[in-house]
Amino acid sequence: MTRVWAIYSLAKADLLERTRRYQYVATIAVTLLVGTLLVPARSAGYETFLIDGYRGIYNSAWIGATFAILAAMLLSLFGFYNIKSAVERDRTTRVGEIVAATSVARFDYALGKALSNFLVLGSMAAILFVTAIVMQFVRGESPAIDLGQIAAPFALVILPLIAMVSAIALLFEMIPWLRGGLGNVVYFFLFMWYMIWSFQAEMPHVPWWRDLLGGNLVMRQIWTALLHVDPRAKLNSVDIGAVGERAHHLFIFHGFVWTGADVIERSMWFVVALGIVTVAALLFDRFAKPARSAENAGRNAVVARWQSATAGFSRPVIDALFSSDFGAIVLAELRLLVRGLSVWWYAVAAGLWIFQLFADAKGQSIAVGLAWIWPLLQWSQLGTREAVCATEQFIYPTLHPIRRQFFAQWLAGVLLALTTAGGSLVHWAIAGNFGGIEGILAGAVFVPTLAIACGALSGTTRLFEIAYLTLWYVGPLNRTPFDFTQGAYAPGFTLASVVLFAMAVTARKIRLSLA
Amino acid sequence: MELQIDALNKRYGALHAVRDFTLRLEPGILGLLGPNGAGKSTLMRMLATVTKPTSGTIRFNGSDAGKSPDALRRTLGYLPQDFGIYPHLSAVEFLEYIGALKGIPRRALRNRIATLLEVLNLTQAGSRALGGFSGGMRQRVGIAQALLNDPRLLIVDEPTAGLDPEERVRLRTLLREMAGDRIIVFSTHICSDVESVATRVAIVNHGALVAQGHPSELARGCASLEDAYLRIVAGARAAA
Repeated sequence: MTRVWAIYSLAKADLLERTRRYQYVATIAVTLLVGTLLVPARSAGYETFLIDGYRGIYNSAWIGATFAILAAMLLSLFGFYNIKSAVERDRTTRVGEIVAATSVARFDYALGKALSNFLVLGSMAAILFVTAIVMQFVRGESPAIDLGQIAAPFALVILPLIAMVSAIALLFEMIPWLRGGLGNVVYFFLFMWYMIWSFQAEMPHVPWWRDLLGGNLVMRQIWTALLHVDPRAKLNSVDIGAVGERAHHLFIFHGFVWTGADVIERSMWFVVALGIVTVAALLFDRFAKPARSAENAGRNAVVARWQSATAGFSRPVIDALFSSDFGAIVLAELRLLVRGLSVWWYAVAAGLWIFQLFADAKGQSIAVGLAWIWPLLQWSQLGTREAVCATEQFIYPTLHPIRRQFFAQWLAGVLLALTTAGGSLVHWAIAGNFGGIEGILAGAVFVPTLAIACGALSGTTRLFEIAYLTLWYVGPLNRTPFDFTQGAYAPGFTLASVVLFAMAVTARKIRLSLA
Repeated sequence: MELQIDALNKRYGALHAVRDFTLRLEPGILGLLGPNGAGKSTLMRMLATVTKPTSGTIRFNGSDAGKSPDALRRTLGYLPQDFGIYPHLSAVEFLEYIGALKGIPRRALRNRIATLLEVLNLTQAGSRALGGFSGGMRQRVGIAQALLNDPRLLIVDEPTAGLDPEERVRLRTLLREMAGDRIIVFSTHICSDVESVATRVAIVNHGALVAQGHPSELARGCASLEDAYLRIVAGARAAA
């Protein structure tokens, strides 16, 4: 009984601490907004879910099904980044040291934290559930609300999914190298891989372990219903988030038929989640400060030797360039950005620089895209370092903290972008293609501006990491209009940079006034 | 009841934070004195089972705390030097949370929290968010969480830091009253705090125990315990 009480108290305290932060209110507001956008009006100019031009009329069965698929994607990706701080909070607030001295078992601690993760994601799912009901009423295509048809996909698809996401987030927090920004990047690629792998599975017999997101489970039911309406419908022609499209035909989806096997298979994910929590508990270090490994010490010694060897060469040059007072701050910010990077980091950056130089015009997006994913964790420090390192009390009272330090930090980020994409700049200059140069310049301003805006607004590195990774994936990697390395889209990204910078300055001003 | 520390060592890479530390503790108050970076906090973290020693053992009533820490943890109260709070929880909610982790039944916990808030002069602030607390008030919440389970072994690292003179006197009185059948280990830089409550003093320098005894024994031949402490530390430095 005492153990249950401990787990309950752990989850409760963690949940209260999270839900009372303004970030949670912002999360709920965004979830509410997303929920309303998932059910667009006929005149909205976009559709969220189309199969070969078909959409179900907005009855409870269709809204429940599509909400389940779309909510699964949102909660498993963005939800992960939202909750991956349960243990980190105990580290940063230093409550962990008090917890470590209590008799609470590792498993109980891990389970309490996973439960808190689950409840936070569950609250987001609950908001989406209520929004689904409201939006069916608002759109008015089918007035009869069937709560069971909305609730069933939520229960069968979303609950096992968020149990898994909660457990994985906890596991990432227990593994030192996955704890920080690198873990965020790893999860993004893991998620993308799993989602593609899952949707590539042969229907209708997709094994349960290949369908965590429940997409195949839901699609199977929708396809069966659609084939009754139009046996020639191309079932593989699925559009999720189709901008500029309209449904050509509407059909009535009558709802789900769940079998006992479906329920058992989805329930298996709870067992897997519990297994992951157990592994996380075994890896939990009870906040013991880890000693620096000999391997790291060795690597740092190499970096130190390299830095001392190049110091004499680089300093006079850099000092001449940055001899002014403001220049010195920019230089200091630049040093902070790249401090502690290994020789290998520079070696890869140099390799990508050469790749840009020799890539053809078509390959430039990929080459610059790769060069600009490499410093992701450096840019994510922009606007957050003061909060993360608790140096606000030293920096905020300095002379003109925005005009000098904040601006210098942003400029250091821009310089890092220009340096890492230098190969492409040289490539376009040799080719005499000023559009290419314009694209790199606009991108080099846009990326650090996005970073500093996300950092200043959220106070954490995660918002930028997920926003940028998503944009990077749909932009340079897939060469869509979101490609911020293309000259053709430079005006749009320049305008976005101006807006983002204004937001960043406003956010920093608010923090200064509250400090 | 006894706490036996045998040949305890802690290394962080090249840094030897605690060296061959041996001491036997019985009920009473041990004041731990030493310069900044002497290894006091590392030693206390090991006694509190937060950090594992590199070598050596800590035995509580004969049980090896390294192998089975739960026996010690069940009866431990620990106040770290640099601890945090959840800023959005109230003092009562925070103490309920820590109390549950310590395995205190709900009803007993509520009574205990009410008592401690009164003793530590926090009753009026009990339902306020901790984020708005002053440094001294946070420190008192830290002390309250350490005392929640009525610990037999109390380890407090710089408990008087941030407290005003009145609260310091109140805490010293509380420690003296509690001392009877408990082992209390507390570290501080303020010699007068040690002099007024400690039944025994241990002086640590560069991770090693350099002197120990009753405060009056150590201060013999000196103007005060502070003079004795300065002389002992200077002697240890010269010898090193």
